Amino acid sequence: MIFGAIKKQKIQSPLEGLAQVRPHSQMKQMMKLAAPLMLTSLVDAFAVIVIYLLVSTHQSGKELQIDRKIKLPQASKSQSLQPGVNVRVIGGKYLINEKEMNESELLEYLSKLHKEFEASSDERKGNILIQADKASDYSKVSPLLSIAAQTGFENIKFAVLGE
Amino acid sequence: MENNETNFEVNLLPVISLLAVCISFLLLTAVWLPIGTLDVKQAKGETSENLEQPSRFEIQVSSNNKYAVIVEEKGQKVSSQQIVDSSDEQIKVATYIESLIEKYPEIKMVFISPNGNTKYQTVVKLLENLKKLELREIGIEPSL
Repeated sequence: MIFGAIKKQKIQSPLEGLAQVRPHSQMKQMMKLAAPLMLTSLVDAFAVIVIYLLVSTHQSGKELQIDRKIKLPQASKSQSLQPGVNVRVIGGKYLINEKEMNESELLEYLSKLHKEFEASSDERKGNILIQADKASDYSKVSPLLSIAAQTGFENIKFAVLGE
Repeated sequence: MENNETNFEVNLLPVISLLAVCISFLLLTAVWLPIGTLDVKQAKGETSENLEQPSRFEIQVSSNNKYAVIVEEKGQKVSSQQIVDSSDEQIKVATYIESLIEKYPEIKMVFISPNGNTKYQTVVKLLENLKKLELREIGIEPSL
């Protein structure tokens, strides 16, 4: 008798149990409070999201730190980021690794850097990445081009936001 | 035995928790701004007077949306055209250069010569338009 009652109250799964109203009742068809969640499809959806995020993270390539004061120009036809010396142009000043420089200091610094890269066959050799605000005048950027040419950085890369 | 079941339920809750943590982590660390570069190769080295002047297009840009497109063949100016283009996309300039490319298919070199007061965005947009026209040898001149 006791075993029979237990048998009637036997719950197939914890979720199904939670979804039942009065599981100990004698009713033949137990009233369902809610349909059990379809966890398999939820897991599938989560797995797809994880795979998508992993792939898109992998494809985004290298990261670049952008100054909040700089609004990069937009361009749809751009190349992926390559390693190079990152120079930020803010109000006529040049910043490399948070160090502010004027034109003569930049010339000296880049010459030294180019020699180091040549000696060590660094992958950044010859590459210079320019970050400048889209609203700034070209005259603020142009001295950097001259300095880059003088110091042996022949690959000028203008950082842009993809559309 | 009466209840010899072979079916059992996999406990999916830890799997869901793990995936939720992965999604949160990936969303937080994802890069949402696609940053790329527009590349220009600058010439370096010595200049020689004996070198043959290459044929090229030269685009002079001034601050008030005025463009001067000059065609040079072996150092000789062949044509010059003034264009006023106030559109952000520089449609008139791009169309004119496209017609020049058809007229002078042997010229592959373009030289941009912006005025100091030209906006950086304008120069970058012009660079992008030239790249769209499949011109590979693009040079940019520092302003004087």
